[in-house]
Parts: sequence; structure tokens; C-alpha cells
Amino acid sequence: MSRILIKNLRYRYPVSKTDVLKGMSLTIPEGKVTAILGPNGSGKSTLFKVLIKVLSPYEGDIYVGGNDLRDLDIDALSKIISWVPQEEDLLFPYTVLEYVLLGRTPHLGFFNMPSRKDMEIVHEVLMQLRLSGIVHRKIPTLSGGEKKLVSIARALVQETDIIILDEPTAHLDMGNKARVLGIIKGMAESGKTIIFSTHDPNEAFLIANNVAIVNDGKLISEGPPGTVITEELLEKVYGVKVTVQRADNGQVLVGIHPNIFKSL
Amino acid sequence: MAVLSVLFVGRYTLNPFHSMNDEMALTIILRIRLPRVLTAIMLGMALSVAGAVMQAAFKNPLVGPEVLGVSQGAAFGAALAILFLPGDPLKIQLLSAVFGLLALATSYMVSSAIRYGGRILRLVLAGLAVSATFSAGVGVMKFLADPLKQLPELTFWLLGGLSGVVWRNFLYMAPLATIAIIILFILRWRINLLILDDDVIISLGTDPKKLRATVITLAVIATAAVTSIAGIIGWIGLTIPHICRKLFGAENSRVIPASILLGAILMLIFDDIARTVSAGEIPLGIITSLLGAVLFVIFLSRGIPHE
Repeated sequence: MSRILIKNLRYRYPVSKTDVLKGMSLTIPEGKVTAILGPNGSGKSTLFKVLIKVLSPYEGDIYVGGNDLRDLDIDALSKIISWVPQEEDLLFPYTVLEYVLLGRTPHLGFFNMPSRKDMEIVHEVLMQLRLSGIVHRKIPTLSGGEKKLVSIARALVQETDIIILDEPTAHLDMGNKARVLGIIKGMAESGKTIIFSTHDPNEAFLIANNVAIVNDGKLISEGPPGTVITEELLEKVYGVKVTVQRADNGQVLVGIHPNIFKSL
Repeated sequence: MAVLSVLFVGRYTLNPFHSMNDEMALTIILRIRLPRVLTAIMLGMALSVAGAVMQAAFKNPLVGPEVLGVSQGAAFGAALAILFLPGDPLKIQLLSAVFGLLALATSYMVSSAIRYGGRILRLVLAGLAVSATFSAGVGVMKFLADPLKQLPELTFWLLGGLSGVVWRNFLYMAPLATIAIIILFILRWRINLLILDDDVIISLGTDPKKLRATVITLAVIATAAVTSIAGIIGWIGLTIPHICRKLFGAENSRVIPASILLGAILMLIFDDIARTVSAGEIPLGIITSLLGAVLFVIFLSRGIPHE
């Protein structure tokens, strides 16, 4: 049971006078990849932070696997949802192993140290992600792509059913993007429920089973990528002319329409 | 070994092989040197572990317990006692511990009133203000102090040192400092979480505010306890954790025990230098600042960045 049900969700930052989330309703299906698409400031990150209880209180209802989110404390929630933020700044030069091991925290008592079993889980995940070669490298010396994979590894050793990733492919080159998207797809295939935000509709076509387009704190449309991502809807949400085309090999490609630059 | 050897070093050099039969020598060892040695060990452990965990808690490798005004608060408390409650060194110790902890509480309260920056920056800014206020108070005390009797005593306390430490001083501060150090030692792996972003810490099921407050409070208790007896001892809390990170890596389950051990050893050596280099005693705070700063530069100028 790892479905997420969001009903009429409203959230407002403490000092603000307006809601960021303005009655959003959304269903995240279990064991699937859900991509959240939406312009900057549409409320994607805010939604995620409400889901991991960084931001509260909220209005409306959120059910995680049948439980009211309000009834789950952060300790219980950390065994259900793990979180990969867009960027993590590490000031101290921890090694990959030391950093990923911190993902085991929810399974350890407050005064406990990680055990050999925790260490084995970490090594196994690092092997799956082909990171065994950089286990003892220091995080600040890693490339952007490696850092992202290490963040994902930290979330994976948490052994949760749901993983939320905030723009996991931002600032990555094409090769690293493909690697991260492949890992996300693989996680869903192993039964995990994945939610990720992105600015690139093509990524939704590549790996998502389900797409939610949000704008101005509300859900605009939700469903399989092929039915949701249309030229009309993207133009409405982003305010720019786009083309959605099916290539000969069946791949759907989304891009900004070249005509709009002719008048500039 | 270090403890045993330093017991016999000092203004009056004692021969370890003859001391057991010499009543005078035994008295010096048991009543003067042993409490001093134990206090130096406790002082080094407390300041080093406090520095290590404060640097993690503030996500800043350059902070120490003094950022929250603890040192200046303790100094103000000591100054109050020297001026208005003369005659009993224990009153100096008590008041300085109380004002050190009061500075922490004030910093926390002021930080919640500040409307600028994130939680950590607010605490640092509040600490700056509290520190400056107490430092002004110390200035007033210096101005009011009797220049012949009270001012030298105050100045000597502010320079920091362990001369005149007896069992009573040690026993009054030891329990508080010991408990704080032991809890921080037990929490050494958990403290690693504090280097992560707050949203990630929450997603790992831990309340970052509570963890940070717990760790900072314990560090300040340890600091206030030893500062109350030794005065202001600079550069140890900054230098020792940095040396340990250079030697053993940044992870706190290694940095914390290493800081405790190295802090104890180095403080013993520094205190030995303070009491043996010249006929009169050099204040310990001068030695730690001088040698601490030199070691800091030596260690940080070696190796590649990020190491």
C-alpha cells in the first residue's frame, strides 16, 4: 500500500499572504513512475516538502498508503517515503560510504551506531548503482552526475516504498540524465512508487507511466503521458508555442516551436 | 603514560623513584599536581569535543562554543564574582558557569526574535550580539575594578590558566563536564546528520531543531563547566577538531573520539609548558592561543583542498 492521495491541498508559507498550493488534488499510483510537470513557481517543490512533512500545517487531506499524513510522525514517515532534493551542499568532506550510510538513520535507535547489516545494505545499493569504484572518494570531489547518483543511493538504502526526487536531472549532461532516468525506471520496476519533478516533458515520455501537470498551485491535468502532454495544454501552461511530434521510431519529442524566434 | 610523567614535571622537579618515600613529594603530587592534571585533561576534552560538535551543528568549520557568547558570558560572571564576592574562588567558578549558560539561553531567545536569514545564521547573529553585550559588561567591570587588587586577578582569569586549581575546583565542575562529554560521545554517529540540509534530516526521521539544540546545549555545558575553572582558553576548540579531520577524515564517529583524546593530550602538554618554561607561570590561554594558532596553520596548509 504505497498510493498517495491528495485532496484539495492548500498550503501557505508563514509570512506570505497568498497560498502556494491552491486546492491541489492528485493521485499518485502505486509502483509506477509519476512525473510532475509545471512552470517555475507552480508549487512542485512545495508539494514535495508538504509530503515529507518539512512544511506544515496544511489544509485539505493527504493519505499515504491509507494513513492520514497528519497521523504519521516524521519517524514513521521516514520508513515510508525517502527524499532526494535538487541540490545538496556538503561542507565537510565525507566519503561516499559515510554519506550513504546516513540513509540508514530511520532504522537505527537514537543512540545506536550502524551495524554490519547496515553496511552490507549500503554496499549492495552502491553496487547496483555501479558506484562501488568511488566508495571511498570524498563527496566534494565528485562530478555533478556522481553526486546525484550518490544522493539517490542514500535514499535507496532507506528502504522505503516511495521515493520523491526533486528535478533529479537538473544540471546533468545527456549521458548522466539517461543514467539517472534508467535508475528511476528500474526502481519502479522493482515495485517502488516514484514521484519526480522535471522541466522536460520528454523525460515523462521516456520513463513515466503517469504525468501530472500543475500550474499556479493547482492540478491542470493527470494521466498517461500520451494523453496529457499535448501542444494545446503545454502552450496554455508555459505561455509559449510548442510542438509535440511522434518520430518514425515511435518516440514522442517535445520542443519549443522554432517559429516564435522569427519575430524576435 | 602522559599523565604519570607530567605528575613529576614542574617548578619543583620530583624524582618518581624516590617520591613514594618522600612525604613532601607525595603531598605535591596528590594535592597540587593530580587535580591540576585531571583538570587539564577535562579542559582539553571538553573544549575539543565542544568545538567538533559545534562545527557540525552550525555547518561551519570555523565556529566554536564562543559564537553563542558563552566565553564572554562566563568572563562577565567571573568578573562579577571577583568584584563583588571577593575571597572565594568557588564563587568565581559558579557565577561564570551560570553566566556562560545564561549567554546560551539569551542567544537562543534573541535568535527567535531576529527576522533575517536562516535558522543557523540567526543563531550566529544573536550570539554575536550577546557576546558583544557581555564583553561590554566585562569592560565596565575592568573600569570599576580596584587597579591594585581586583584588576590583576580579573586580567589573569581572562588570560586563562590552571594555577591554584585544587580538588574542590575539579570536583565541582567534573560531573557536569563528564556527563556532557559522555552523551556527545554516545551520539557521535547521530551528530553526522547535522551536516545535511534540514529537509533531508527530516526525511530521515529526525527533528533537526531538537538534535541541534541538544548537541549545542551539551557542548555549551561542557565549555561553561571548564571555562568556569580555567578562564578563557582559546584556539583549542577550533584547532583540535581540524587536526583530527585532517588525520582521520570528517566523519564524526572518528572526529569526536579523536578530538577528546588529542584535546586531553595536547592540553596536558600545553599546561606543562605553561608551568615549566619560566620561573613565573605563563597563563595557559596565551600558550594555547599561540601554539593552537601555529598548529592550525601548519595542519591546514598541508594536503589538497577538500581533504
